[in-house]
Amino acid sequence: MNRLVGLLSPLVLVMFGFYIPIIWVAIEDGALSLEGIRALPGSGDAPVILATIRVAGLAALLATAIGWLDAVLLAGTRGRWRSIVVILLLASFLIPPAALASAVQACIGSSSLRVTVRDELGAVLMLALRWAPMAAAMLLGAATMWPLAQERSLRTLPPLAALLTRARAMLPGALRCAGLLLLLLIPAAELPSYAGVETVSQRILIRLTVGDPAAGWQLAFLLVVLASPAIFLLTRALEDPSRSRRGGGIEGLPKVIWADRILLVRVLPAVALIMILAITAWPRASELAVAGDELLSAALAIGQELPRALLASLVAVLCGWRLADGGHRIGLLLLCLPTLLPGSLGAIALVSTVRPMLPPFLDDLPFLLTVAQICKLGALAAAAGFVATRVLPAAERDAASLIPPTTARWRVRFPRALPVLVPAVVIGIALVMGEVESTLLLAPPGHPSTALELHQLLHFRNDEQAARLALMLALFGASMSALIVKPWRRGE
Amino acid sequence: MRWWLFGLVLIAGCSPDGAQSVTVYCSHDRSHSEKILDQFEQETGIRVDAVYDTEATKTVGLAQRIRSERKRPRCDVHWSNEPLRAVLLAQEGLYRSLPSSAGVGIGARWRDPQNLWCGFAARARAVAIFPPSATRVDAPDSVHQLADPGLLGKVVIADPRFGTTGSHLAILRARLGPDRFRRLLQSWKTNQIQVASSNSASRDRVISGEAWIGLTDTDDIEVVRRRGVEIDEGFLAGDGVILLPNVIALVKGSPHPEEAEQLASWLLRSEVEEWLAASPSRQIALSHDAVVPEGGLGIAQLDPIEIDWVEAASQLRDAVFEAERILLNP
Repeated sequence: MNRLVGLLSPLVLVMFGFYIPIIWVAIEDGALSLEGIRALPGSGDAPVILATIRVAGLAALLATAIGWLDAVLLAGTRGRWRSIVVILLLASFLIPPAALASAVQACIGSSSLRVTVRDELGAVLMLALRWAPMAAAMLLGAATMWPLAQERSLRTLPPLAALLTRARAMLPGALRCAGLLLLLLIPAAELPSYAGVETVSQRILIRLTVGDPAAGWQLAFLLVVLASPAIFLLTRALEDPSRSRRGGGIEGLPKVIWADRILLVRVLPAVALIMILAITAWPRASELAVAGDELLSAALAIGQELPRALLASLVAVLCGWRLADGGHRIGLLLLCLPTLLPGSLGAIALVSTVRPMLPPFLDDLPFLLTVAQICKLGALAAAAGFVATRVLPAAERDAASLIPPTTARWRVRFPRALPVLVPAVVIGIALVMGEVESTLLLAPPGHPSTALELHQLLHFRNDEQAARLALMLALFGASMSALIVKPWRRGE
Repeated sequence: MRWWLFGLVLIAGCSPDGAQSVTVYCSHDRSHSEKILDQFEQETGIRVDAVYDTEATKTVGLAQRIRSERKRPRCDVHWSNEPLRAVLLAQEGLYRSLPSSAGVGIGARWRDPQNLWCGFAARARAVAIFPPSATRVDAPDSVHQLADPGLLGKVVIADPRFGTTGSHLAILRARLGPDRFRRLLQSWKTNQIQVASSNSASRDRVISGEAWIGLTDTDDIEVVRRRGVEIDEGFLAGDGVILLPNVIALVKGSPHPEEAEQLASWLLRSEVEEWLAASPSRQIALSHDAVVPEGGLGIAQLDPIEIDWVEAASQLRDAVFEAERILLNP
């Protein structure tokens, strides 16, 4: 009975915020009727599904490879600017790609943007470069959990041998990281669209918009069915849960000059992009007052949105941890699946089914938006929860089992999971702040959304104003990154 | 404790003050429409709560939001930046009649016979042309000329399943008939036409020289011209100039019906069209009594073709799917 409650309670939100509305609307739209099933997605959709999986898969692998290299060098060597490198890389993740493309165009000139990789390769490169800092963050987070003895013995090896050993030790985590990135990249539509690549998310939205909703829902279900086994595989148990490290700074880490150089080269694009953004945002003398107002209002909008983003991220990550802590693989799978589908899909379902049942005063609050965004963070939450449960040494886990379950969960296991859960919450906040799809459909009129406003500005080439917004987002990202970086670089 | 926090955060930022208000869903350029809605607030004292659209390729858009909210509408006034999706919403019974006094200066060809929607401040479909100082490219006179072998791989259109490009194709399908329409698409495909994510992306490919001709809207061209970008435009006059008006409609069962009527009537005044005509989006006023600003486009100058909006809307789905099948699927 307790196990059932443990499974169901973290899933209440995702059930009422995603699965029930989705199935309800799909039935209403005829996707599950006999006629609808007969007209299952045609052969025209197969290349799009394959292209999506190919692009997302390759981008996930490449992003993980880059992130893996970053993580090995950052965790295994010491140098003055490590924290700043991490902060810059993570901050660049928070800048919406549309703003960067627009700023580059405004600053350098259109002809410089003549893309030679406007195809799947271009999409893979753009996605990989954007998401590599996330991979590095996840792997660095995992590296901080290594047993202290293992970390100490690594520091006695010659630098290159230590780095290679460290890279090998990170490999299992890297594979899981690639799996998670695959889930996060499958619904990507924006960056591939810049490269001229259509993804399945885009096609689902087209079906829903242009009078063939049943086909849209079927395509979405097909995607879920295809991805479910992979997610289930990702949540299988790790072989050795007895990993944990407390403390440990940079003492004993080698200073490696070539590692410094690689990291310098690695961070150059991020610096260049932020510089370009700053140059674009820099106002002419006559616009100083206006630009100041814009920066201020962007900061206020971000500040206003922050508590809600924090709440959404916190709830999602707690649900993920609770399911992982109880060993509910099916629950983790159910939590992950909403991430696979475009945010608009869940938002449409919520508006159509749940909203009419809610009291009208809730229309003025971002209640449903928060629910939709919590559901959308499922994969991140599940991954964070899964990793967090692996960092508790078996001996501690056994000892905790001797005290009442609730006390053991919240007084023993939960505090030990915080080094993983806190960075996950921060990443979740970043994802919520950049979310556009459900915001457009669910946000109450007048609700501040920096990401949405930024897209609106860019559509009409208000590049400077968009750059100011993006710069504020980058600044916010850098501040948030500093929160995560601190535990990684203890003692530096 | 946690639930207290949850409730507190949700309530933060919400301050219903009981004053008169109206909610508008607006897919016109925010930087221009926001000023107009602010003006309405100042003149009437009615607070306007606006939701603005973003590029269609990233989202399903506000038309879908209205459709999804049909059981309990939240939007009072729908300001759509193109007519065909509004026609479909009218056919689905989501709109109610506009006040008879609204938009009296706007001709019958720009409004619904049952007065469920009314067009104003149109954009023309246009071709953006690579700056002539770099390469000599003659403005095409017809969509058929986009298949000219001399333009092999040098023509770009926006994703035909979204926005005004979808509407343009639906109008073409209604005028040409299904067979000729499919042949046209096939000829474009043979000529390796590029497909960009949006009208603005098409225009940008022309600016960068990656394409020589880009099928887009007049406002997308004008907005960069005013920023000093050298780019030419043409109107495909051989086919007849296509104007796509903004549309105002009232949502049936909305929470503020009286304020909605006030806003709709106010927006359909000729002054609003004149403001939009003078803005960087250079809309084309449809009211008989609207004054064309200097450098603006007048309806008489363009002599647009008459479009059966209902027929065009009925072609939208097939036009979009055929374009997807022929132009986009490998």
